Amino acid sequence: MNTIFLKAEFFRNISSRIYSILFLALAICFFVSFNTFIDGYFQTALLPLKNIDAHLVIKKSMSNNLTTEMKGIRLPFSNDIFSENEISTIKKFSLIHEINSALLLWDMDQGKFRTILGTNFNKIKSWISTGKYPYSESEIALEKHFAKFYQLKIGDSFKINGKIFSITGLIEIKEGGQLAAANIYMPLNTAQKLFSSDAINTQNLLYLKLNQNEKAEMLKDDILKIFPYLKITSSDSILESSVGMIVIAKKFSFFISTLTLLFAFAIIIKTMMFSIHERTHDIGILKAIGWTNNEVKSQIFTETFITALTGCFVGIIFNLIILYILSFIPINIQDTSEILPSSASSFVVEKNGMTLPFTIKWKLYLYAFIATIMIGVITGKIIIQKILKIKPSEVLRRI
Amino acid sequence: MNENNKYILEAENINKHFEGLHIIKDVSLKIKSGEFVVIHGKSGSGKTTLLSLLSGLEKADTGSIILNKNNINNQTEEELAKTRRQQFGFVFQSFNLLSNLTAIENVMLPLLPITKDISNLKNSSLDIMKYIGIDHRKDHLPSKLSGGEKQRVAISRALINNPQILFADEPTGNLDSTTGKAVIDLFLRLKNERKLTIILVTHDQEIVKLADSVIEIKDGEIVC
Repeated sequence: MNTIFLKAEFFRNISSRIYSILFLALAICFFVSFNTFIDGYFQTALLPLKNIDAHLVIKKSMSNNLTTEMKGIRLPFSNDIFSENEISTIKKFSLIHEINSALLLWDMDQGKFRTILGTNFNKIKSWISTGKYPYSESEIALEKHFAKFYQLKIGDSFKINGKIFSITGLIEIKEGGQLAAANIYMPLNTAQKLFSSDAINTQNLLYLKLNQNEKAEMLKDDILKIFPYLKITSSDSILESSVGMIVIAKKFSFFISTLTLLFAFAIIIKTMMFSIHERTHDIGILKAIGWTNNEVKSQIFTETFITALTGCFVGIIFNLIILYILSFIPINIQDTSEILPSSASSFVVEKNGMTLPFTIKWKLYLYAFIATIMIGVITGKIIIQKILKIKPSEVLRRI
Repeated sequence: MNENNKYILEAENINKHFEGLHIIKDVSLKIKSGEFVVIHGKSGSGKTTLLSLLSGLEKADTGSIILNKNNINNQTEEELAKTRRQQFGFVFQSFNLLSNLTAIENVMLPLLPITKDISNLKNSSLDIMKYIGIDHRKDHLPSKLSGGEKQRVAISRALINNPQILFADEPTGNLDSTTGKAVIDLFLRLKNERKLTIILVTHDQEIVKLADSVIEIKDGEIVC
């Protein structure tokens, strides 16, 4: 390889060279971005469960409470309370490492809609950003945005269903934490008493942590065999219900990526072939003045390789820019098709919006690099076959 | 020096066919070291093909071409390329400089792939360009040079490897008569000062008069 000649040739037909580099860069960028985006979307979709440190969330499907009065404290439209039999049966599954229960309530007070979550789940307690999680029956914590919206702070009083509570803390819901999202948090027994004075052990949400994550779907199926009316949220169910298109895209991602790289490969071959055709005269002269076939091949091979590697590098830069931009765009992941009353405040729903994690996938870059090397080698080999056929005497005769 | 040693290049019964035509017909010749040999003939007579065969740019179908007791007609393409680089220099009618390289880079070109010390090669190239009288144009691209300057750069390139034989195919064909005469004077100077063997193809009778020996070719055969 000779740098003087290489430099001169590299910039000889710069538009054609840029054309090659750009096409490969776009293909590499698409290949990496597409796969990173799909993977990021998957990871994001799994956050609702990951952030509450649970593998399954069980709700009991709505019975007949849709038509009840929309006033005061009540169960959500889509939930019902678990029976003692249901809870004790679920607890018997040996795969379960830990069960945390909760009571999700709706409070409809003078046209205002608020959600209340009664739980002693330590993970949710850890979401406290200011103050402390309530322990007594007269204490509550508020979701941070909810408190800000109503200009409430720690120490203020808050009235629910005619009863006065003291605000002890503010909760910041983790990204993707909508499986445990509410406006008001309180201990489980406080929520149970709020719902009904005789509602001991009333629960409508179960957060299950398993011994083995990979057995989640199996356990889900086992529970559904006994209680088919239960609604169980697992990572797979979130993906199936929320990101169906992405699941399809993931299945075809290899095919789509390969097709893109093949397209880039074809473009590079075409551009390099055109370049060789343009340079037939020069290659003939080089051979005439004593360059061996191997020397010409090595020179052209290096040029092709540098073009391909530059394309790969530019493609990765493009990919980083795209991922950075994507990391600011919120995506909507729904945990369930929860029915909300029309008076539900928009900021409750806003918590479903999550941003894609901006992660650099070194493995994908490695794949892109290997693909580039392969493109470089194959292109080089094809070009070299053409170079070998160039006879200096024939080239000189045509001049 | 015995009779055999004084010949630097010999062709024995060489034949070349091209696209069904018999271009070179059983040609045999001997060229002495340090001679200024002119291959003369009309257009289409086969003189350029003969030059290509003698310089290893093309292989003869039959016969042998002996350079320093080696038959270069039996060499592989790789060996022939090395022979051309080590033993021969080339000057063409249309200069054949690479348009994207400067004058000095063009001069360096034959030895670029095998040179590690580029600055040394650059210095050698500059020395030759000075000798040829074109060093003041070393950093110019061929497009900025006149025909005569281009041919001087091409001659410098042909000399960079210190060749035994300089092959020139119609070197004055694209030049006006004054510049052409200057180029021929340069060849004669190279012959006299560097004892270089020059094999030159031309149809110009004026150049023929300056030759040490003339190979007259007609329809692929040597006529005298």
